[in-house]
Amino acid sequence: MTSETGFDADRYKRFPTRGPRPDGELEELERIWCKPKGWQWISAINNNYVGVYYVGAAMLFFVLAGLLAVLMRTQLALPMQGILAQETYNQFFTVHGTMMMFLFAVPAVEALGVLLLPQMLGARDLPFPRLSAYAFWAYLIGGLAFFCSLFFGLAPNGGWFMYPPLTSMTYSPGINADFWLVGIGFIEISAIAGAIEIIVGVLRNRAPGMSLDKMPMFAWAMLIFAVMIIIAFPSVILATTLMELERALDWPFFDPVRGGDPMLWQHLFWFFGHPEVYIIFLPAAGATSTIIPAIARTPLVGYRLVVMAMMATGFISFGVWAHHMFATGMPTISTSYFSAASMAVSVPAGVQVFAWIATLAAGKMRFNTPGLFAVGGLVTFVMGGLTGVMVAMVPFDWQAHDSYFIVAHLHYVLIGGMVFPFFAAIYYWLPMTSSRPLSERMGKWVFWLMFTGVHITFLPMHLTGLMGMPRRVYTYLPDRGWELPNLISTAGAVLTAIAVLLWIIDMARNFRPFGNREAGNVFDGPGLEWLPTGLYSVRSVPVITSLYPLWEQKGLSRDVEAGRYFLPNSATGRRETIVTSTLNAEPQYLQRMPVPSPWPIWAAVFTAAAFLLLTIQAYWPSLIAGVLGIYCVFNWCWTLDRPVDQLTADIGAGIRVPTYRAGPSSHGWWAMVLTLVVGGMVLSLAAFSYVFLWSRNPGEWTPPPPLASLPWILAPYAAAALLSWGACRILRLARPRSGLIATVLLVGASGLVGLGWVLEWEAWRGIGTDPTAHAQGAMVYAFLAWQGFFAFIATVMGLYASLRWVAGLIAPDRPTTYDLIALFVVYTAGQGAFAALLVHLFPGG
Amino acid sequence: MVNWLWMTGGLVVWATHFSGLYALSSLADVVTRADDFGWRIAGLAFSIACAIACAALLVLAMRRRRAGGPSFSSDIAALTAGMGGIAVVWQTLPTLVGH
Ligand code: HEM
Repeated sequence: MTSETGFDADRYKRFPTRGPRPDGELEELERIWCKPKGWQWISAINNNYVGVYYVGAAMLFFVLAGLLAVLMRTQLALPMQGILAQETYNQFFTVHGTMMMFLFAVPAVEALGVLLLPQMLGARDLPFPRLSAYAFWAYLIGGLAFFCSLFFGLAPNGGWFMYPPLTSMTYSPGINADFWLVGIGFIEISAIAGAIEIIVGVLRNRAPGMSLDKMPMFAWAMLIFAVMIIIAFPSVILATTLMELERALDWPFFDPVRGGDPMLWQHLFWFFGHPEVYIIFLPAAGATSTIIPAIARTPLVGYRLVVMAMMATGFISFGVWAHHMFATGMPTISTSYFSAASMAVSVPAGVQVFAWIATLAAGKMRFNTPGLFAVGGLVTFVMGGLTGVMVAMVPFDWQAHDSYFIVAHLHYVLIGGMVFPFFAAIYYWLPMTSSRPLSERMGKWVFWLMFTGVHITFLPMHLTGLMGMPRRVYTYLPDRGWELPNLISTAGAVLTAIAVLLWIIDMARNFRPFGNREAGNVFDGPGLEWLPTGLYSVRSVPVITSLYPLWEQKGLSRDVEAGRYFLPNSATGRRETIVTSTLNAEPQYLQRMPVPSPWPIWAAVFTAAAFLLLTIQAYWPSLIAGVLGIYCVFNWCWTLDRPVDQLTADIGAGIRVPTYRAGPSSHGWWAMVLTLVVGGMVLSLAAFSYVFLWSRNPGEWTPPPPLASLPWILAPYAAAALLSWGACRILRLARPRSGLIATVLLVGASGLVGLGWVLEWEAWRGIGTDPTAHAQGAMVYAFLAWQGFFAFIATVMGLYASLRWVAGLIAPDRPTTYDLIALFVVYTAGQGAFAALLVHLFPGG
Repeated sequence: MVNWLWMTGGLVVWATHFSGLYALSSLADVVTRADDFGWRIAGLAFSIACAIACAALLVLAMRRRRAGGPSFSSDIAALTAGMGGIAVVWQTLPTLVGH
């Protein structure tokens, strides 16, 4: 294998090292990665803690949303019941669907990633543990606030996809819809933060030698999942922002009377919403591909095919969004293209399913609880997949659209594709985090009750749907033949609820998190996560030579625990992890990890408060909360990018690597680039929205400001980019005044970005553009608002850079902070220039 | 990045294909009708180009594999090219059938 970074792979032969390790190494690791005490539990940031909190919170939301489902089913058990009023039912199905999708399914798998990935990859932790903590707390606070809106009758009631015009101010005048828009927008930010963490973690924190072909299936799935989040979620951020702007400021993006179009919402929502289904499915599939080989005690059949299938699923999921819109009257040929694409999805999904079946056939299946859940999920998912192919056919979809057939289909896919695999994962991996595994006897009860309960609930719904029962109705008339299937469905829901209750009891009886002892590798799993671990993860980071290291690398467990691999101690006396290269996982440098801090939590509290206060239109308190949030982020970042006392460190067997890295190969750079990709996606989708709205009513669009204004707008943006680049170059020159000049240039650059924005705004104001009059003006102002937000952040960053310079925290050998700020400013300038060119030149005068 | 692009090449072509087809039919819908003959022929030409690109990627990947290049990335490249090819052909059918 050719080296990717110049690292000589022969050096791996030095491991496992021989001879005893010096005394005190383990104690030092334990001291550095110590257990939190008292209130420190809240500010803990390692994945062992945050991962468990995260999974726990996701399960809490699952139970709460499930409770709503049982109440809905009770209401629907018999015709004309009055247990839930119509409005309450509307709120219940909206909150149930929204919580299951946004507060359970996505966060649950993300949580599983945070919990498992470091151990699975042989890292001490994911690269940005404070970001994980922030993402978790933001999600918990936002989610609880969202759920509690039910108690005040303020919960959203427009369905989980919130279509306008139903959700417009005319038909939903209260703040219920705003709770959805602001709440979900906020929770998605937390999901994106988690995704950035996962991408950088999987690509840069793998154990040395763990090249792509030795990467666990779950890590592949999480990588693709996280990339999909980065691409898909910006769409919902844009959609919710536009809708909120329409509701709050009367900018008519979705109002056809003033040049808007409700179809735009559907495009934006489903461009996110359909990939969301695969975003949920892929990690669960990754878990299944990890659990099935362990349960069948044989390698996964067709590892490479399954990797390809996951990638293909990720790609195609972005090409099928309009199959949710077959009934909206799109042109026939467009509908046919989407229909064909939808059917093509079954190819990669089929590859995975056949790989699992082949693995089960090739090995010796053990019917323990994780095995049962994995196989139960497979069966249920295949059934949902088959009805999926049915509704991919347009004529059938026209019949089944908005009926209970769809409710049955979506639950089969989601429960088979995510819930069962997730339970399999809990039963399989729990011994890793608890001193006791869950009870096998009870687990089997849980599985069989849940499996039968789910099928009894949802199988009859296909029939109810085909008999004409529409979805989202709070009751129905007798004598339509719907009574019996509805009663059966309710009975099934009760069985499922009993299963969940049993599981909760089992968890309460057996789960002992954060103990000093783990139950161990009770299922004989082959992955690194089954190595003995402490809060520091593995004692030493092994060299990986196999896809199934614990099965194939003899004595690995013993040698790892004896400290005979990389990082047997703390090389710098602090928290640290090895950063490796993307393809071959060659050691590159030692990343210093942050210590626990309350600031990310306070930042989450204040950002959540800012969003919530915004929802109830308390603008000033919201602003104050926002400012406090920024203050917390300043404090959070302040301790990062500090001087290092050792330039290189021995990470084991005499191999030395740098302890600091700036530029494109550093983890910070990667995180910033990914953040900017999110910004870029929002921008691209906004550009799509702009062109889409034009295509609806080209005749109504008015000419832009005179072309002469364009160079004046572009010039400050170009200058800002140039100054930012110059700042980084000058800092690296390491002259006496480099720090000062670089700071002045950066502050100047952020000021210029602001200037470009003001000039653009002036140009449109000058020709009398009113954002409330027509969708064109609304779109132009939406671009301005987005750019204004970035310009504001650039200004805040400029202020931060100045403060760091004043505090003497800027030095030529530690340029990361300035690099990242410059990257952001350059992007903001590019974004402003792109938006200006688009709205000035298209469709033109 | 180059390596990732190589591994996902077939899928990138596929994504380009379906985005291109949607864009073409939407544009046709603004200009004339979405399934106008001329526009469909443009779509067909585009589909053929994409199918050829997938086939070329497949051949290249097989060759690299045989020449002893890194086997994992070449395998994935070949598989994604194959998958992309099937999907492109499948998604070309609406251009041809039923008009
Ligand atoms: C066995 C447990 C479950 C039961 C009994 C159940 C029951 C229901 C019911 C009664 C509805 C409303 C149907 C209507 O009035 O149209 C519904 C809707 C929905 N459920 Fe579930 N559900 C369960 C689990 C799940 C899970 C695990 C998910 C996702 C991971 C989920 C996602 C949804 C969605 C997205 C909707 C559509 C909401 C809307 O129409 O806006 N459900 N479910």
